[in-house]
Amino acid sequence: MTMRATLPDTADILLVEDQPSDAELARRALHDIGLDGRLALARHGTRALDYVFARGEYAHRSIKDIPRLILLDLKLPRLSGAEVLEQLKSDPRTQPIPVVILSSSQEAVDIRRCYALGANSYVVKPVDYVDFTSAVQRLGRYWLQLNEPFSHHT
Amino acid sequence: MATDASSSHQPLAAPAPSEQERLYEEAPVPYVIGSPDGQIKSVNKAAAARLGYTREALEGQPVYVLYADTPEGQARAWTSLRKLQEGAPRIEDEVQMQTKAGEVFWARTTVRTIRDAAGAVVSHWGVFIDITEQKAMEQALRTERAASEEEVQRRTAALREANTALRAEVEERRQVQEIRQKQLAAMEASIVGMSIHDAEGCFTYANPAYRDIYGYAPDEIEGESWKVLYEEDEVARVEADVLPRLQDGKQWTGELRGRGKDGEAVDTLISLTPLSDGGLACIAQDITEQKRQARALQQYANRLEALHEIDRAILAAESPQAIADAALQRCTDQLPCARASIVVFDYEADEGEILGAVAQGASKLTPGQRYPIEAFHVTERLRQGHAEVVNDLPAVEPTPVLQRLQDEGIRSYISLPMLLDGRLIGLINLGDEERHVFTEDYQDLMREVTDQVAIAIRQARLLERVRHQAEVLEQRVAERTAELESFTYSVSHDLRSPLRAIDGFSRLLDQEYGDMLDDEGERLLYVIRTSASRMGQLIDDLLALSRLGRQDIRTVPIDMEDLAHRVVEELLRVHDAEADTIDIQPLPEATGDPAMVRTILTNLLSNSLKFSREAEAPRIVVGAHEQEGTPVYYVRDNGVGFDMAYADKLFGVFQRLHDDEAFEGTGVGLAIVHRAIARLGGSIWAESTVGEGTTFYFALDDVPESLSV
Repeated sequence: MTMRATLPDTADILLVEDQPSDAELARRALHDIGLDGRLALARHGTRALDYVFARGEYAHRSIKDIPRLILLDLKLPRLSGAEVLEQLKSDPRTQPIPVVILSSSQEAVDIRRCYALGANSYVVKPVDYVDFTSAVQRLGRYWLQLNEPFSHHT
Repeated sequence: MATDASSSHQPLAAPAPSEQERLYEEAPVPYVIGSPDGQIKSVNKAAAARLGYTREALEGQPVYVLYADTPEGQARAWTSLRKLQEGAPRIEDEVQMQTKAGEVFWARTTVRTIRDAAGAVVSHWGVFIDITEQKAMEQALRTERAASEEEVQRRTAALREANTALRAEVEERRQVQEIRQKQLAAMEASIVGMSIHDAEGCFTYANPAYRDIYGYAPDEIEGESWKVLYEEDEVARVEADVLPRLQDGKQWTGELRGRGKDGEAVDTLISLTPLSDGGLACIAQDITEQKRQARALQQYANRLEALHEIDRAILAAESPQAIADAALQRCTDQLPCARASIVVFDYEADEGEILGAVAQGASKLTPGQRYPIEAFHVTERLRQGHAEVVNDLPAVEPTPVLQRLQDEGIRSYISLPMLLDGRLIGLINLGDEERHVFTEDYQDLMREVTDQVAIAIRQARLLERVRHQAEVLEQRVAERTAELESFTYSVSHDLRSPLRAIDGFSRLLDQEYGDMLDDEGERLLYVIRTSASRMGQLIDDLLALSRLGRQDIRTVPIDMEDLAHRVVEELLRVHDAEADTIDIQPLPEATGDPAMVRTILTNLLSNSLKFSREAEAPRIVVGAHEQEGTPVYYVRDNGVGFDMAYADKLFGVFQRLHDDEAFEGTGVGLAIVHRAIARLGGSIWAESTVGEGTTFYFALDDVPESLSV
């Protein structure tokens, strides 16, 4: 499976992850339950924000086409995950988007900070492949299938 | 005379009646003739006249009537008569008689018994002589005699008294003389100077101590005026202030500055007392040394005060510049001078920096200015640590610097070197427009100030360096801490991600291409996956260990027994062990951080489970006992045990005492326990026998040294 250089104009899940291996494992996990079809992957924070706010490279997008879930890693090049989270949650247009932090960090300080910034959930990435796959799949099912999303269109 | 008649005891023959009768009748002596029975036969004219009776009136009367009509008078009469009747031939007596008119008078009586030839008593012839006058004379004589006797006695007593007084006076004079001699000896021996002056003020006496004060030989000063001992102005002062007081008869005590024979000044405490003859007594004490000491003390006190002031200012200052300012300000307050500056040398730049400067009027020096060192007139004397003092600038050979000072009106100048460890680090320079301003005292004080400033500047420099170093260190610590945190963060993120990839992709390989692998291929994949898993555990443990060091500690009571049960329950789920393997005995409550204590129990118990797994009947006991008031908990297993020779390596990170693959572990668990115990201020130790089992003991409070092995 190859990574697309540009992101689809609309997506249900925006995965913000700089590690290709983690990104691929996550995609595979979602693929296994049929949720990988509308997945956009941003490799760093700036691109993620450009995509969501429909600016720069993604200016042609509509800001109203918000993803139904953002899976956000914390340790990112350029803009950190926390900064991305802060910008998303401080803008009324993007504030309703569920943001789940998917991080290797178990540090209490990270967890506290993310919740303070408005993270909807914080999940520590399991090292074990099976656990990891299971975690990603449960997240996908919950937020995309069980949870009733906010929509600018309705 | 009757007394004549008494000269013969022979009875008289009766005279011729006429003759007898005439004699009897006319005799000027009173006669009385009585009968033997005591009646008056007759009296002569003289008797009748004296008694105031007629002769006839008395004839036949008892003789008693002639006697004083007093008990005594009558008694005498009776006595005389009885004696006569008893045969007395003659009685002489002095009796009191009484005239008819009642006059009582003294009389000497002589009565003679007249007998006839046959011896029979015929009559008694009595004669009496009025002795009243005689009696009076006798009385007078007696009185006079008594008076003169008294006078004699009185005079004798007076004489005796006078004699005694005279003797006393002689004794007194002797004693006074003796006292005077003693007094003189005392004065001569006195350590206090004493002198006596006549009305003109000239010395009549000066004791040795007095002469010693002023350096005069014996007898040298006697006759001299007191004025030889004083300078003119002191003489004037005494004449104006002291003498009038003495003339009023009052004492005077005070200090006078005299002059010895050699011309040296002598400070004295003088007490002057006016004498009755117009002279003076003087007591003098040499207080030259006391005055000198007092002056020295005062100077010392002044200097201390000044130094103290300066020290305080210096202490309050922190930077070298502030020290210089404080020192100069205080110096010029205490020791007025027109200008003062402090310069420090920077030998590397060959420059001197003005650290501080004060001046009356405009100063050419301002702090912070730098000049070449050569501009500062640094002499060899200064380098050696000696001050350069010029008290009359025009009088010395001018160097360019001195010339400049002179041109600026400076006349007195002092330059003091600041030495540190023998090296000249700077100068304090003072200047004034007056000559001879910088006295010895001034120099002494300034030397001390200079030393203080030098030390203070060094302290300040050291302090600045220490602060700088502390800042650098703090910065470095902060950087290192940040690095470490960043490293920890990296470990947690960066290492986990590739691990997940290894684990995940090896599984994917197995899933998707498993049918293309033979058994060996499968085995290799398994090794990859277990290695990744082990590394994941290692990373988790390391992070836990590092978190332990940074974690805040809560101190609350912990129900150890309950906690042990919960830990065991959790462990039994993870480790595939039987519930009855672990026996939890009653445990005393502990005080500590629950999370840390949980970590301790978890690691110790999983350690025991691991090493007793292979035992025939694994058995683990969690218990406690009290040792010297401190609860000591233990976890005992019947596992493989370890060699106590390696006990010291037990708690090291990555230290594993078993290479047996059956006991694979990261080697971090006991290090975590150890760090947690250390953070709680407790201690932990172990006892073990290879093949029999291990017991870990731990206490959460400080335990006596003797308990730990």
